[in-house]
Amino acid sequence: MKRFLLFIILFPSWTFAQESTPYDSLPIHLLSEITIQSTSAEIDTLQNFYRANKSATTEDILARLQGVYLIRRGSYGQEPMLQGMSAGQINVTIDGMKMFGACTDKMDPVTIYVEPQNLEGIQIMRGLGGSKMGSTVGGTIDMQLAQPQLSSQRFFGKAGLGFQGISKGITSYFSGNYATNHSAYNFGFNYRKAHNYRDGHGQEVLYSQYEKINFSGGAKWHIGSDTLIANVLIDNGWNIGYPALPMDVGSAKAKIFALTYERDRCHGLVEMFRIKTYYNSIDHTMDDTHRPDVAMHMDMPGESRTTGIFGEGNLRRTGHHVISFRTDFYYNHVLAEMTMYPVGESPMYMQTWPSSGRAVGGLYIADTYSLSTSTKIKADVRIDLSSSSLDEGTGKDQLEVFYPNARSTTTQLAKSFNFSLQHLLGQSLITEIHGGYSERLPTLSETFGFYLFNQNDAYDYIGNINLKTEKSWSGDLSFSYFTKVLQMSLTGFYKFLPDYIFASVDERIIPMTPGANGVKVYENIPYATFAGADFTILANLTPALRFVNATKYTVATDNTGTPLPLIPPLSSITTLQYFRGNWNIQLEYEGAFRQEKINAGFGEDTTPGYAVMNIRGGYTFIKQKLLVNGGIENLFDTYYHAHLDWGNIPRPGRNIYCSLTFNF
Amino acid sequence: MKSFIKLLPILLLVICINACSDDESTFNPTEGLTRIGDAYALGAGTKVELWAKEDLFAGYNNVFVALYDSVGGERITEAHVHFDPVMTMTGGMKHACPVINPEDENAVLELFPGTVVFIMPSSDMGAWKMGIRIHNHRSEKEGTASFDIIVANPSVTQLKSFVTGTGEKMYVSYTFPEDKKVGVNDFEVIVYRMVNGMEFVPVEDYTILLEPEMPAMGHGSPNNVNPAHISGGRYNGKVNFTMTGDWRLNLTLNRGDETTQALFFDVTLN
Repeated sequence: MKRFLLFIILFPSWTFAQESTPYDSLPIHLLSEITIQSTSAEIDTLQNFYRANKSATTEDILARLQGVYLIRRGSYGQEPMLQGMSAGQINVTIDGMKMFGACTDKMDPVTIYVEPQNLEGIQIMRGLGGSKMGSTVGGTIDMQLAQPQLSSQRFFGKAGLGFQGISKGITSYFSGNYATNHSAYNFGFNYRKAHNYRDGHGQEVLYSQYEKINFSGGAKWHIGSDTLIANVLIDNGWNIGYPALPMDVGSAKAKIFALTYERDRCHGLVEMFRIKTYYNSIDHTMDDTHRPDVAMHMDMPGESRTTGIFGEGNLRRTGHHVISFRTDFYYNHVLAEMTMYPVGESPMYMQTWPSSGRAVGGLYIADTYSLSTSTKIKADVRIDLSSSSLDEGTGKDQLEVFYPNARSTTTQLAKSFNFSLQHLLGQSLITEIHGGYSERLPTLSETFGFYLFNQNDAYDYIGNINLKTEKSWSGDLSFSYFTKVLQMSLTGFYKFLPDYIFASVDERIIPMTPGANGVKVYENIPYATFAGADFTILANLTPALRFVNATKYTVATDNTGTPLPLIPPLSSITTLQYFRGNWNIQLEYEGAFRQEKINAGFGEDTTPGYAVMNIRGGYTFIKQKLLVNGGIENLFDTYYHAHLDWGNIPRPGRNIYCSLTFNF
Repeated sequence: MKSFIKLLPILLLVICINACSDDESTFNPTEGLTRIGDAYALGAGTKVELWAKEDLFAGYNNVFVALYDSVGGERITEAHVHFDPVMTMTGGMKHACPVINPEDENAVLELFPGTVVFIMPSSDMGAWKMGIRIHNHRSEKEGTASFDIIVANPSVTQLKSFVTGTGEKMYVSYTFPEDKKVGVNDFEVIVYRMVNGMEFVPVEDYTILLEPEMPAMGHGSPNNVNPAHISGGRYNGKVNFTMTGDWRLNLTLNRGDETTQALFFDVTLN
């Protein structure tokens, strides 16, 4: 098995070594071509706008992207969801690197460890290309790191300060880039602190504070067609409140190290490629010391370490084929512990994530075939081989209570393939039809989790070592229409997911957490179905006035027709942007319908619809060097919560914010 | 350098020999055990040593007997071993306690394992003396070694007794054959009836229900196996601990028309 994984890793480098006689060819940067970006022009605009609003967090930006939702448990640390799918169903990667949160309660999706200043962009990949970063049924969110830029300007950068009225929050940041002829270096710093915010009724929402600091650095050396890039990212958060959970986060620390080698204009079969090796670690501790009426104090530290390597690139164009590939390997190790301290009695210790690890090796190949100038066929295939193992010791001994004959190592295979046909009708209408099959591995939490308490349904969750992979048959149909004045896209999707992984009540097991309703154990239910649509429209009404609307809808049910939990209702955001000289002003209307398709077993209730209005503006001074942004969010101080907000914790009320950015 | 390479095989050989001889010398059957006492079994020509997993206490004790030839000192591995613990009270009254003698006349890993369930700790009220009767199969001679022992009163009781409706006095204790840990543990309950002060007989027909509980949290653990009678008053089951801490093992004993007996043992898992 190890030998097989090694083969996967070494295979592409072996092909690189077979370079034949040099001949001239135009380098085609296929990497950006094969990744199907939902970030179409109009969405890029919104993304750029939020990036321009320098006090926005990565989460704020994600929430505006097509098909992305956030599961909210606190004002920070929200969990991204793609078309109703989250956690192990989607890949969340940083520059293609795998990283896994260290919190058993999903308080630390890896998106919290990355600041917008660290990023070049966020890429959403669904359907074809979605499995490039790993086997998935829901797609990939890849956050691309901002790399040092080679530039004729020796030193440039920006610094800024932001203020949020509702939470008396401040943001300050600095980033700089230093370039020479063959090398470039960048450095970034970001600090945020927010106090409790107030809701639409003026009530303070306790435990909604957070504080964090982020450092990043990069170095790039460029010689001919070879580039070497080193990246370091260190993010420390502390005192992060989670009003919807019984505990807060004492500290959340992440370290990311990556070394990338890129070569373009290669000779021979492989035209360009890059190899990246990386290591990242997350240390996370939960904290109940600020909560009143804690029956029993608990320490809950968790750690996650991931080491990986991947190589990706594309082959030289042959005939009508453009073939790209990626091969990757990573090893993730997790351990989450819980020690409870009953008064006057012995401490109670258990491993909520038994000390365990998973090694995954995968191979991805995509081919684009041009049938004619207006018709393209694309296909991709991915195979992942994974080996999950429990370490000897307490964690394994614990699980034997449920699985007496547990094998310490299980091997699983995940396969996926996709096919799409893209056709250009006339000058301005693209139709695309996509079909595919994919599988995803159960997460370590779903496999080995041990009495993980879920506040939303008040059940203790237990993993299932016998879980099969979750499968997905999916189909999408999309129409994109674009002219200079009007851009529109409509995508409809349907997914049929056999062996859907879902936790069901097991009456035989008594819960561990005092006051819990019972115990749920993960299992493969016969199937679940997801369907939905995304619609976006961008209209340049006048050269100075632009109208944007993005509407998304998802519906999902299990095999009995019961709605799945955590599925958002029809929601939409409409923006009107006006530009004049150094001014820009933007009105936003953000809303969601009432959600009645709820899963009562998961503790959900009906969520009323809501609509909020935001107004934003910006002004640039001194030859675009100084930017002032400001605005009012939730203009009418509406009291509301969205369906994905746990515990029906109200969202912030009227928030006046401003920020100052200086470019140099 | 060359001479070093020539010397290398010799060096390796020396390391190997050292390693081998180390292995031989490390085998010690009483490693990890506590020495309780020793005496000569006069008449049997045998030196008797008593070892236990820990200092003796009121409850279920796993004990081990090591025998040596009293003259040559070599180990004896074939013998019949019989325990005769007796407590003499200050008033002169004497009583014994339940014992399970080594089943086999052949030693297991050079020791003779057995069980002694002390029903009372040593105190001002009375003192224990351990008698170990030996039938030395090598010399075919018999004799008894006798020495004083101290039986501690454990901080948490490991022995319970009750009287049935028909006036029978029962003693119940337990042991974990392996060190207890988080996870699945073998668990043994022992039930003996007192016939008179000097005679105890195993009770083999109880149905035992085992329910572990964590009083601090009010939860139990799943998939435990109720202790079922194996032999000689010993009931084997499995107890599952899902975490460390203070646990209570609730036992319910049923037998025919007898009133159900409920008792518990508190254990701490570190």
